[in-house]
Amino acid sequence: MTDLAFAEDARIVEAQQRLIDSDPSGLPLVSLAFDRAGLAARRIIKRKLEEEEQAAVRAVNASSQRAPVRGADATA
Amino acid sequence: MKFLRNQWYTAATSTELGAKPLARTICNEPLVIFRAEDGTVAVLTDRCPHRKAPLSSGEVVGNDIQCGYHGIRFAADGACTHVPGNVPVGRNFRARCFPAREVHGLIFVWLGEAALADPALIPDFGENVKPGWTGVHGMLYVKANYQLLIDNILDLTHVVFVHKTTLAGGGVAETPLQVEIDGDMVRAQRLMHNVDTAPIYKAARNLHGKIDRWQFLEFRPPIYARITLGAREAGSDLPFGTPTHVVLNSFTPETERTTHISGRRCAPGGSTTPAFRRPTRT
Repeated sequence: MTDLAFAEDARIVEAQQRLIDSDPSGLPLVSLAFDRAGLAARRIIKRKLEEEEQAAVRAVNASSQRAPVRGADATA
Repeated sequence: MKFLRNQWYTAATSTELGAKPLARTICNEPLVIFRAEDGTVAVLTDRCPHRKAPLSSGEVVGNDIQCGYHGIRFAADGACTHVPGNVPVGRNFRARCFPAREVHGLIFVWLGEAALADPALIPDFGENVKPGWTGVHGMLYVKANYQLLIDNILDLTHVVFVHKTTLAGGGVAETPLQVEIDGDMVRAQRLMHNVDTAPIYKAARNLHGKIDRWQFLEFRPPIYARITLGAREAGSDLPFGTPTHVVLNSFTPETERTTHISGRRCAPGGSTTPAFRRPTRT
């Protein structure tokens, strides 16, 4: 029975993806009260993506500061 | 669309990985997963550094993987261990390696910085292997973005309409979902008293009249959702909240529009409850 339930979920969510992709309206998904948990999950993922991007930018900046400047005095 | 890199992703089930290497794309990253002769699991990029042919087209030789195109071999850490004819290769000639762990009957891969790959961060799939717990495991491939699937699992209101013959029952849509956000974790619950039973509880638990029913959801980004479900005859002695089913899901993105779902339905006790029988196909 739970297998059937999984298949039922897959059917509706795949159809949803197709309609999102083909939707010319550009309207966003709407979140109602019972979508609150899913919305919170999306916000956490978004925040963590931003944190990862900022960390990556910091790492690039740090490594470019460490890189020796060609021709510069080695003791500087 | 970007995916989180510094995370453990469920890559495969332990039983999926036999003697042959397994090709699986995760977050747009083509990977080869293989089990070395010593039993350990390794994950490398599925592009041979030679001509970018899939390493997964080859085979496992000892503890190494041998590319299916020219027979070049790589160890679990990606180091090149053999080139036919002993042709010399440069020091940088290696396959990219990803940290991997096998725990709770699943194989996890870390796509980001290897130094941050702390195994303690792997989400808890403990019921997969808990003594006294049995269940059915399945991998499912769905042509949809993983966030749509997370929306789906975290909003059980839909069970009334999507799962009419299985999970639907009285009180689900009417009872508000209580949501709590705890740092990176989302917890939600719906507690129902004296509602109509659902087909699944008739079949699995022999509950035909009014029931008390509970749904607890826990989500950890990016992919882990634990659902704890239960029911009792309305007002009976079974402590409210006792888990009668635990559904452990992970939603591993393959691409922006495709997802590998690993789902395991577990229950304490025997595996013979009808809820866990696969539907017979006719």
